[in-house]
Amino acid sequence: MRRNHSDLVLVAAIAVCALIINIVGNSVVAIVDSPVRIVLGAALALFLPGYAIAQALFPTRRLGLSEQLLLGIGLSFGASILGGLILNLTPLGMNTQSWAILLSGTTLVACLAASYARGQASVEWTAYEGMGEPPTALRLLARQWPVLLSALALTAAAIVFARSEANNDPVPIVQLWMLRDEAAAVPTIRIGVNNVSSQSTGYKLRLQLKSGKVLQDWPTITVPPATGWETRLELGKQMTKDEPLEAVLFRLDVPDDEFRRTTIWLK
Amino acid sequence: MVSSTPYARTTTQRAQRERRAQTSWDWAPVSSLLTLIASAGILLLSLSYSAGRIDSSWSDLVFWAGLITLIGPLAFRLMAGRISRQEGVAIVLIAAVGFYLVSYLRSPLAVVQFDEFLHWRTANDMLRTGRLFEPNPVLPISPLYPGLEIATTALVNLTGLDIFHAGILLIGAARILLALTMFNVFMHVTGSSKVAVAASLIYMGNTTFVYFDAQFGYESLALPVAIFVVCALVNRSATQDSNVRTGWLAAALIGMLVVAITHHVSSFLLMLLLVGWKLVGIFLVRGKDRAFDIPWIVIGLAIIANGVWIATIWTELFDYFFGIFGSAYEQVQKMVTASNGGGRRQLFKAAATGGRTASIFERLIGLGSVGLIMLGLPIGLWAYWQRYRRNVLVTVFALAALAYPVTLAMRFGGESAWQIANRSSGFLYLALGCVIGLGLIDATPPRWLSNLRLVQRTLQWVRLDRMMLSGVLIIIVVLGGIIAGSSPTTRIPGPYLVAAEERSYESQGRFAALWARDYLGPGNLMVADRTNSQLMLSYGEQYVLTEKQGVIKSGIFLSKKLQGEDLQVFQNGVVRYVVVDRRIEGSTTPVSGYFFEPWERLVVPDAYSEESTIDPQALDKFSDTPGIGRIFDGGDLQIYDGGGLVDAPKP
Repeated sequence: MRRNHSDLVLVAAIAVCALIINIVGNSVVAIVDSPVRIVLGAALALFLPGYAIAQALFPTRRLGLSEQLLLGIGLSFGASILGGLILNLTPLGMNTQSWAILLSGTTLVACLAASYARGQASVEWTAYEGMGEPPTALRLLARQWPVLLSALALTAAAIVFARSEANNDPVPIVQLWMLRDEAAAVPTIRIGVNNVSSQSTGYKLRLQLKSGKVLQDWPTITVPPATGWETRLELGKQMTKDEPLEAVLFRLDVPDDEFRRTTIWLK
Repeated sequence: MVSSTPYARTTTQRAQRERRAQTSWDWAPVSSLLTLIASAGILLLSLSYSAGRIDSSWSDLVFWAGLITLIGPLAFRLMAGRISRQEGVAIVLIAAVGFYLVSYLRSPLAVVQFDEFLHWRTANDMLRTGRLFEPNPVLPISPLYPGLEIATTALVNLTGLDIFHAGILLIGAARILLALTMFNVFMHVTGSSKVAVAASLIYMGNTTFVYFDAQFGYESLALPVAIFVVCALVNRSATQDSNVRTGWLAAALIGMLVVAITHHVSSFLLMLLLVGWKLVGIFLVRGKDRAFDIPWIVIGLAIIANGVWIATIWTELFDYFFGIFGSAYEQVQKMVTASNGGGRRQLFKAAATGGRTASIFERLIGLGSVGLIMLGLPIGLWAYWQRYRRNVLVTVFALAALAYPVTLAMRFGGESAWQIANRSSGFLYLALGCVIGLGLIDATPPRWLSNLRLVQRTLQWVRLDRMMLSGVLIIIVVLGGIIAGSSPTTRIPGPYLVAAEERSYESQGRFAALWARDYLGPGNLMVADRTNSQLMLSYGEQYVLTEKQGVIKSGIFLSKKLQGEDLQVFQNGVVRYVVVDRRIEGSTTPVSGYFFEPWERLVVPDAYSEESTIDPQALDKFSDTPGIGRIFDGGDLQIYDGGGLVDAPKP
């Protein structure tokens, strides 16, 4: 009995698609973060090379479903990890293109080797001591599908729920920062407010010397959620290196309470 | 070709009986229901985590209910007649993936375990440079065993996912590999899918299975691949077909190379197992009918693969292991001689500030699981002696299982001794699971014992409910493993706690680290507390200084004045930035044992105690020191720039 090569053709086709997406699609925004890329990329990194290598290593034997799966994953780990050592030695290093070429290439070469080896040998079961013929495909009865799909739905619900709950941050995150602009020719500072929370709040900002002398006020600053506000300020000659600058941030809804404070030495 | 050895005849007859019980893919009617129930357990766990986040009192109850819903039906499936090989695979896969979700759902958006940040940093360096072996300041050994990070880099590059999600996929695949290979090994060596299921479920009771070996860490990948090697060698030994034997041998060799460059301990223990396997085959199990021998070439290649890799990195490896084993040896020695307080570690030690103490239920289950394993061990060894003593690999497992009581004793030692005992369980339970699985399913009492009337009556009763008892034992062992392998404070997510591992990594710290990366640039010389060091090292890409670089942080943070050597590190440009977490103020003893360094109370004895909190002046001193500016204020987290004291060079 001769085996057909449909599985190898399918594996090779997926590997080629993954290669194309990662070589060509890297410049196409719609593809870069698409689920298709995730699925194809994960298959190429976690299963396809191992499956193809397993078929090349065991041409005379039909592998059971669980054996195909364990060899597919285990040998794919081997292909990527040992392949990574090789990529490190090349001028390319490890990047999207080199990984796509390496793992797609490994898959295609192994598919060719498996195809050739299968042509040379007839398929037979190899008897293992005490083991029966393993099933080669997942065959489910019609009444089993609803149960399994319900299980899948429950698990997906658990994951979605956990992710949404973990995303609810109890503390609004607002950052005030002040840095010297090292690239500027004259003494210059950068001051910024980052709002990482989901709420938009108004602020007022005061720049002053440690002694309390106010240099500049920004009476109203509005920072929308997930954005930042930044300004750059050239400092006059009145600045001394013996006294630090202070930036003090107040919330407009609680204007008398200091909310954040930064200091900087010009030395 | 089927061998005609006595062992083979036994296993063949058993397999034939099992095959008669299956006509096609007949696992599905039962297993699909088991899957559904297990999914309900997962949903309960998700609910308990959500309740934990708002500090609800019922989160614990729902958590344990979810775990019992997950594992209970799978364990009790052993009661209901035969289990086909396919159903066995399904049960073990459901349990393995289910327990992986227990860990994943706890923190589904970001890494939270201490070691994960270290490997995150190595993977990020690899992605940034496209090269291997970039130094990792906190875990120098990590880039030298780059298997995990290489595979992660491949996934990140090919999928466009971030490191966290690529890691989740990678370790998930490794978990599936672990389940399949483990079942395959147990199935081959015992010839019984029922024993294989029992052994695999008992394996899942090891203290590192649910959390530690599910994290983004090198052991989480190396351990499944190591078992993959054993699986390939077992499959090779179990057939006479030379082509197939060659195929499995090649798979084993590839796996061995992967383990050798992925994780030190896994590769050493795999090598030890292979050598032991060979020696047992030579000296202990003699005769032509012995089963599962391995060839010398495997031993040779394992030694060469490890030898070559170790030879290139031996200095770093020596430093790494010398610290751990040296400390563990001292602690065990102190415990044995009972000197200096014995260096003993208390079981179920009460947690400190904001932490939780193990409940009575947890203590009972934890101790019960140990007791049941100790009870099951001799029964399993008896079953081994009755039926499997010609089997080389089961003999190796039986010998290895004898180490279990030793590791129990080590758990009473200090932190390092406990760590070694804890970490070894991921490997040891492979042997223990096999032996106890044999005891649960296969053991029959010796004749002299059976003749005693009381024993007869007991056995009649036990035999009736033997599988029920097995199910109960498996549930207790698995829950006990979770209890022993995780802290009650961090097992379920909850509101922020100071220096409490998983409970301390939150968004404020993450965004501060991202700010440092984006506005200060990577690689700045920085000191921070234990929690923020990890965040700055990983998300922040900073060069976080520790005692490895000769910086003692305790004085810098806990002294009331910045002076002497603590000031000099700024003046000499050794340290540029300081991350201050104001939440540390007002804290007494931290949950994880220390805020900055394990020896901080030796460096600054009056910094804090069980009764007195850290003086706010200790953290205010940075604002009061001329030359040090607070360049970042994120509320609780502040970053100070000591560049005013000197122009600090970058590393």
